[in-house]
Amino acid sequence: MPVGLLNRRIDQIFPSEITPESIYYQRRRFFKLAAALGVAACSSKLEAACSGIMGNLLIPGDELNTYEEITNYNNFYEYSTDKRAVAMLAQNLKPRPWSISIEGEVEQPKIIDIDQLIREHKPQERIYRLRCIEGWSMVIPWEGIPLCDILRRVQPTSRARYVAFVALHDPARFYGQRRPTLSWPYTEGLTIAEAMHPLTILATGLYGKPMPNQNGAPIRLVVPWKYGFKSIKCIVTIRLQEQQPLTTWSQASPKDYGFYANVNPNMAGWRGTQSRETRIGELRKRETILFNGYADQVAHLYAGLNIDSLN
Amino acid sequence: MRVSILTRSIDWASLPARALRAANQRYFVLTCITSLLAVLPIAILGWDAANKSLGPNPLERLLRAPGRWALILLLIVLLATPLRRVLTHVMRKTGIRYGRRLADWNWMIRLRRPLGLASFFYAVIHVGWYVWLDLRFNWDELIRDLSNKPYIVAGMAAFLLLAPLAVTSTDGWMRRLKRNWKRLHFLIYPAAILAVLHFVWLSKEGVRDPYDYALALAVLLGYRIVALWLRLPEIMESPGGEAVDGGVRVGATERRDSNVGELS
Repeated sequence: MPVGLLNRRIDQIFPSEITPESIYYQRRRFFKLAAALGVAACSSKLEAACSGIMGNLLIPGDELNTYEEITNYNNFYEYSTDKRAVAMLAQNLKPRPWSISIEGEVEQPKIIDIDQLIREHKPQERIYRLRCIEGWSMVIPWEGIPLCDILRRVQPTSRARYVAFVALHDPARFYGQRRPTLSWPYTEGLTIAEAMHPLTILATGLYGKPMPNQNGAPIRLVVPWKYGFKSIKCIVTIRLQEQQPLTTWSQASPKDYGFYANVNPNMAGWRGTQSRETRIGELRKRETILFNGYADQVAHLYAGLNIDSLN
Repeated sequence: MRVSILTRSIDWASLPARALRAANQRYFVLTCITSLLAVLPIAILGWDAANKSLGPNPLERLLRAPGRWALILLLIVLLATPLRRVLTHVMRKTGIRYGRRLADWNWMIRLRRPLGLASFFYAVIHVGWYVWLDLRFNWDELIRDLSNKPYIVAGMAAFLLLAPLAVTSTDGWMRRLKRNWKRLHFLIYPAAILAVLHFVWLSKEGVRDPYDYALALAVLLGYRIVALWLRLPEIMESPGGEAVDGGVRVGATERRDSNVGELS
């Protein structure tokens, strides 16, 4: 990686500096694979795989979306199916006090307060593309904690093959939960390998500010190579388990919102292919890229699988 | 021939010329007001576009707003006949003074033409912007969309069905097509169904919006089916009758009579 890439604004990073990154990461695959296998041992090498190594992974043409855009165009069915209405409705959320229960197949289950979690793990900036299955995308400067950092502390057992995430269920605050739009509470899931991947973060803020309510305060998942609906908001429970969790959207329409839901321009659901997308703020559509442009980092997770039929 | 009070219409030909002119002037003013109201949504969209305030997803807004207005106006066109019939009936039953006179809106039936044309105007913008702004005139992309997006097929079909209706909306085409004009304009029903299907199919699970439109259309079509079943007169409103500027041409009265007879 070119020296100081992390410390520079993205418009100062040249495309020529970005290409070598993929080569750079190939050397790191060993560590990531080790992490992906769920090896719980706390070696210093694993630590390196978890944090601080990913850089910004931007593609030429990527520009940060504005705070205004990011906080006024939100899919958040707990409030409304209207993306423009969420910012106003979500003002009642009250993201403090908030605690998260980490439970299931772990040696040390715990319930941790959000502020304590942030103090212990010092969130890092991660600039990611977010691709929504509705056909739009954004570039967002998240602040977050690599999920593997958190999971490593609770020591997953050998039976932990999946990680289930459950969002807050509170119809008093979440107006949208008063209607059976989806099966509440919102539930999502990852394989343990995906959860331990260093790109996967629990985001606690964006643009250097605490997570805005409408973006899923106080803590949400961000999995940049999957469609946005995988990145569950307002998490209260993280459960490690042996069975694949039944996710909310896959119950609404299994074919369109599968468990894996990797960004893939070759796959088509009921509303057609995902071959193009609108970058928020732009009028002309862009071509969608496999794994949302993170293939170099994540393709190895699906080695040996037919990615075009992995729903 | 049965001519119920519901279907009675003014015998334009026998009215004095002054009354005729006044009626036509009223109709002209109404058409102007309707047209102005109908272009309001596109004016707002244009204003927002000029001020770069189309919101975070301008393409989505530019595509969706005209599509929605095309559908709304189409439903208003389909509302004219049932609304007039039902209001007249209610007024007659309740016996409110001047009630029937207030309710029996001949002008509403006549406004279906400008409203229908406005609907098609928005449909043209909707499809035009889709081909231009979304597809960038990439015809391969259009073929791809048609082959794997059912909602695009439904929407295109609705548009193609509306096109001949817009073209033949003039007095001249009415005259030329005679009774086939009405047969042709029956296409508004399948077009409306396809337009609603288009909206339902493109929307995500959990979004209630398109189902409101589906319900509205179901009520409007349901009324016609029930009315046809009960043999209520002039259910499939004869646009050839009242929509024509009957007072201007000789022979309009005759045609209207024959329409009534046909449906009674």
